[in-house]
Order: sequence, then structure tokens, then C-alpha cells
Amino acid sequence: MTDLAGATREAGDREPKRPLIGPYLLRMLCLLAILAFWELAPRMEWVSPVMLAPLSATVVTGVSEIGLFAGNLAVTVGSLLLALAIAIGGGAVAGLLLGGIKALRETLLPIMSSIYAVPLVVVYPVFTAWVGIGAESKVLFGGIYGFFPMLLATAAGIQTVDTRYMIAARSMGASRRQQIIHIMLPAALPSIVSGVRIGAAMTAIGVVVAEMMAATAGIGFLITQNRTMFNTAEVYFGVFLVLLLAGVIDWAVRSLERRAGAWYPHKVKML
Amino acid sequence: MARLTVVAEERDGAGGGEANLRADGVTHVFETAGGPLMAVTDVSFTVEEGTFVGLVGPSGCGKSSLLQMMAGLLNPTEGRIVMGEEEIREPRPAEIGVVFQESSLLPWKSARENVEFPLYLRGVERSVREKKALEMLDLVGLGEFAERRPHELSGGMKQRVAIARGFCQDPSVLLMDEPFAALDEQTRMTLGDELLQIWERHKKTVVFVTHSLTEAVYLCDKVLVMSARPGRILKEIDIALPRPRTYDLMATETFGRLRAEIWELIRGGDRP
Amino acid sequence: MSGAGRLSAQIGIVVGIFLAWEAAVQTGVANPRIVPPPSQVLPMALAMLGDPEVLHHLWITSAQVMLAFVLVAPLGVAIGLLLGESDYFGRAFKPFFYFVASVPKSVFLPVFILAFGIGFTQKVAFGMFQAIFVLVISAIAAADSVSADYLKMARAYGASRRQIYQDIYLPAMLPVIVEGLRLGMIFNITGVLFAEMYVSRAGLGHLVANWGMSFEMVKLFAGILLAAVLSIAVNESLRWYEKRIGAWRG
Repeated sequence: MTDLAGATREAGDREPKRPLIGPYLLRMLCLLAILAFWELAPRMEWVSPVMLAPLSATVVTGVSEIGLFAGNLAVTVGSLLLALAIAIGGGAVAGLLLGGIKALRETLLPIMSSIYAVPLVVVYPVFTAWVGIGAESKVLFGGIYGFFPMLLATAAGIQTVDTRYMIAARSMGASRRQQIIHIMLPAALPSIVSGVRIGAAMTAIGVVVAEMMAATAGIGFLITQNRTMFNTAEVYFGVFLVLLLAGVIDWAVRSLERRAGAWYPHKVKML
Repeated sequence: MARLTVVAEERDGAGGGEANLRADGVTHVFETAGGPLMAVTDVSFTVEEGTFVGLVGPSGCGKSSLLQMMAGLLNPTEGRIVMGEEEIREPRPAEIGVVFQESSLLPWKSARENVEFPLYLRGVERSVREKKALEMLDLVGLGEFAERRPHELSGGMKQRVAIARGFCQDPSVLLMDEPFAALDEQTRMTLGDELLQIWERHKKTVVFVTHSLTEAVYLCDKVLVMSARPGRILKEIDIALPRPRTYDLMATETFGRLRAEIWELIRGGDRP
Repeated sequence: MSGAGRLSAQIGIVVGIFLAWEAAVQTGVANPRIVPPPSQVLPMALAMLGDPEVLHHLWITSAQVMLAFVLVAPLGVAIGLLLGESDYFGRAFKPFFYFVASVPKSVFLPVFILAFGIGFTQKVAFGMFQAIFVLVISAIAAADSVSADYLKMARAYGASRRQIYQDIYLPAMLPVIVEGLRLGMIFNITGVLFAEMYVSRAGLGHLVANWGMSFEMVKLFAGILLAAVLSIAVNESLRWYEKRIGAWRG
């Protein structure tokens, strides 16, 4: 578009006016406006206080009940770690098999990518019916939620390994095992790690969603419980904590990604 | 040769010195979705030990397939490839090194790690292979760049590393599949000269696939000219130019005549 | 493997899974009260398609999904194109959309209930909310995918502004936008179903959640099967269209 804009500008022979407010400033002003609205709208009763609790009230409430929130967040993190083991471990192994073995790649992989379109949330009642509403069901559900993106990313990484590397390795006499360890895995590493990033985020969503629908503890459970009691400030603070958790996970995986991708000249784009 | 003893000893024990490379009635047919595709048909030739032989022909004539068969990466549908007395059915990294089109360097390994990779695969001790790799990088003038990753190197440097990797096991045969195809004209001339200098010192048997007729005439002792698919050998042309080769040879009448002869063959071979 | 061979292998795998599932129940490996066999689930799913009450709930879900999609698609694409094409707005707001796109949005559902109640409007709003960010991001990517070289070439040959939009921008951007629409649709369906399961009085999600709580496993499995088949059908048809208009992308 820059080119087209440039052309019309030349034709009109006019210098573009510098905007009054810079783009960065505009973004900050909008953010500020949102925060101000959040604080003022319920106080001035522009919106019902049930809908939105003032920013300050949300923070104050959250801090005063920090023990309760921290306890439930710890429960969520515990379930999340178990779920991550299923999602990342299982997804990586399944992805390596489905991406690496030609017969599976041609038959099962397309089926898996179709299944990825299914809203998995409808399966959750099956888990609660099977294993109850304790930690097991949310661990299982979170694990399966993150399993598919991990599988697909790993398989994509394995199958896009440059054949030139494979041929070169064979000409140097690499055994099948050496080909897998020294060529396929390192070549697929960047997309495996972005699979971890997406998979971990999905697993976290899965665990929290499961807690929101049916659970006895955890941050999602706390949010739902407070919603039914119309404790608006607590709901918002809980949502904030979940976002914080997601941010921490994303940050952790990204630092891992930077290390894994260090050899690669440019970032690998996934999904 | 003395400083290449590490691997050379193993080779002498295994194979002996006889390293004539022979193709006997080689035909290769690919199975494709659209039916069988004949890449090369009834190709026979001999590459004498210690000579530099070029393989030229129109695009898609099966040059690369032929080279892959010599490397043992592909097996002939009919006929056989023989080195010395033994038929080649699988890669023999200790005796046959391969340098590929563009860079097949592993991007996650440094230049040195790439060069020593074939030795690593065979379980050669770390200190030995590091020393060897650095030696080879010095040979191609990249000693200082040993710890750089491929994406930090220019195209010409990458191909130098690939050549160092090809030489690293001190193979008796070096197969090169359009190694300079992705480089600009100046770089490929320089690299060609460097390759010749190394070759004059170590006298490997080299089979060199190329699109560039100038390159073929300049580098080779003999040029095998192939026809369009299915590839056949149209003619073997001896390049009777003195060595060491220098740029002023290109201006000679012989050089021009040889180049023109190859060009006529390829052009004629293109027509059915 | 040929295309036909691959397809029959895939059909074989799916049929095989159903057969193994049936066999597991028949041989007593799996408890039919917990894992109902396909011989009960498949007829139940078919029966549901003739059951006016289930169809009513299915219709409500479809209506919410479609309305959300019709509203959010032009909105999301328009925002994305604006951010992609305008340097100024792009620099101001792109980071915001990239950030929010990476945030788990399901957790905002309680906020939507506080704001919109638990009815039709809330489902539509939540479906839109789930879909809009991926739409914006892909429309930005679509705008970026128009190579400056093509524009230069078109201008050099004297293309009019209309011709540039019609013959350069549109074909270059359409496949990327349709991909975004497909992803947006998946997120939209997931959002609506999740909202129905969470709190509602109607819709397929509502039915599924209730069947789960009352341990009606045959109905639960049949409902899941319907939801799965419908979303796969929507996804695959959009994917087919995406492939067709993007065939030049190779």
C-alpha cells in the first residue's frame, strides 16, 4: 500500500500532513481511556456495578483475598503441570511417529488435522462422567486440549525436514538412527518448540475451562463460584490472574524458543 | 598426503589403491505418479583414477541421477556401477565423498562441526576429528570461520565448507553435483581455481556435474556429454589443455573449439 | 500412495476405530454403561436428527453461530485491512491485537455473562469475541502478503486504481483471508458451544452438558458425534474453498 499511497501523493504533489498524535501516543491514550472507563463507568453508574467492578475495587479486593486466590492458583498450576506432561510428551511422541512414518503421515495425519477442528469442549462431560469432577478430569481434559496442536506442529516439523540434508547424511554413511538424531530432530526443533508454545497455552486454557465448568478447586472454579454470587470484583481479579499465568507460560516457552532457534537465521512461523 | 594419514590408513586396509570408477550399461527408471520415467539409459564409461571428469548435458538429462548412483544413494534399474572390483550399491563415505548442489550444510552446526560430521558419524574420537576438520577448513581458507554457523557465511564460503567436508575423510573419489550452481560468476571462477589447486596436491578422482560449459572445459581432463532424457553418453571429449590451468587458456583457440564442440553436441542432442 | 488409495485407507481407519470400539464393548473390555457401543450411539445420533426437540436446540446453536459469523467477519476483516494498510493505525494498534490474540479468551466468558446475561445475545457476543482476533490478524497478514513488486509492475503497465484492487489485491489476499475466516469459524463454534455448556437454557452445548450430568451416555456420545461431524464439515468445506482459490500459492 505504501507504494500506491506514494503514487497518489506524487500525483497530488502534496506533502502528507504529520499526524497531530503519534501512533505510540495514540495507543497509550486508548489504553488510558480504557483504564479510566473501567474505573469511572461503574462509579458514575454508566454501567451496572454487577457488570463491571471499578479497577481500584478489583485490585483492592484481590489483594485482600490474596491467600484464597494464591491457594486456588496453586491447585491450577499443579493440575496444569500434569496436563502438560500428557500434552507435550504425548503430542511430541505421536507427532514424531505420524510425521516420520510415511504410511501414517498419509493416512492418519489428515484425520488428526480434521479432528483439530472439533470443539473439544463438548467432550468434557465424558471425562467428568468417567472420572468425576476432581483433578483427574481437568488434567485429562487439559492434556488432550494441548495434545493436538503439539502433535500437528511436531509432525509438520518432521515432514518438512529438507531432503537435501537427508541425502547428504546418507552419502556420509549415517545410519537410520543417526539420521533421526542428527538430522530430523534438530531440523524439526524450531517447529517442535513452537508446538510447545501453542500446546502449553492450549493446555492452560483446557485446565481453566474444565475448572470453570465443573471442579472443586482451582482458579477457574473460583471465578465461576464468584460469578454465581455476583462478586464482580473477584471475577475480574481471577480473570486477571489467569491472563498472568498464560503470560508467564508464554514468556517461559519463548525464552526456550530463542535458544532452540538460535541456529536458525529467521523465526519459524507456525499456524 | 602425509597429513591425511588418519583416515587414509583405514582406507588402504579396506580397499586397496585401485579406484577406477566404472559404469556398465547403467539404466535408471523412476516410478512416478504418471508412470515410469526413464532417467538414464544404457550408460557406460570409465573414470580413471586421479582424473578430473566432467558430466554435462541439458537440464533433466539424468546427470544428477547418475551421480547419485555413483554415490550409492540410488541403485541402477539395470547395469552396475563398479569401483575397482566392487559394485556400489550403498554409500561408501570413506571412499566416496559427495559435495552437493547449493548448501547441504546443517544450519544448526558450525562450519567445523559440519566438516567433522562424517567422521563423527563413524565414531572417530573428538580431538582427532576436530584437528582434521580445522586442517580441512585451513585448506579451503576458512580457518578463521570454523565456529561460524552457515547463515553467517556467504554462499561461496558455504560451498568451501562443503568441499572441506567432502575432502575430510580423504576419500579416493569426490563426486560433485553442480557444487557452484548457486554462486555468482566471479565466485565460481575463484572456487574452481581453488578446487583445482587442492586437487593438484591431492589428486583425487573427481566427477563434476555442471551446467557451465566453460567450467567443464576449464576444470576437467575429460568431459562426458549427455543427451536429453533419457540420458545417454553422446561423446567423451578429452580436454587436451596443459595443467596447471590458468585464465589465459580461456582465450585460446583450443578452449573455444572444445567449448563449441560440447555445445553443438548438447544442442543436437536436445532434438529428437 | 495414490489419492484413492489414501482415501480408502482413511475410511478404513475410521471404520476400524468404530469396529474396535464396538468389539471392546461386546467383549466386555469396556463397560457399556461408561462407553456405549457405536451400535447404540450411531442410531441415536440419526434419531436425534429426526427429533424436533433436538433439532430445535441444534437450530438455536446454528443461528447463534451464523449470526455471530455474519456480524464478525466483515468487522474483523475491515479492522485487519485498516491496520495492515494504514501505517499510522497499524503502528498504533497492531501490538494490541497481537497481544490479545495470544491471550486465552475462554476465561472471559463469566464477564460476558455479567455483561449480557445468559441468553442468545451473550452467545453471539462471545462467539464474535472468540473469532475476531484471528480474523484481524489474518487480514493484517493478507494485506502484508501483497508484494510491492506486483504493485510496481501493475503501475508500470498503467493499471487503474480499480484494476489494482481487483486484479492484484483481491486475488493475492483472498486465500489468506479465507484461511482466517475458517479459523475464526472454528473459534466461533467452540465459543458458542462452550458458552452453552457453561450456563444456558438452550442449544446443543446445553443438551450435551445436561446429558453428561445425568449420565445419559448414549445421548452424550451421540451429541458429541453430531457436534464433531458438523464442525468437521464446516471446516473441510472452507478448507476446500481456501485450497481452490489459493491453488496458485502451490
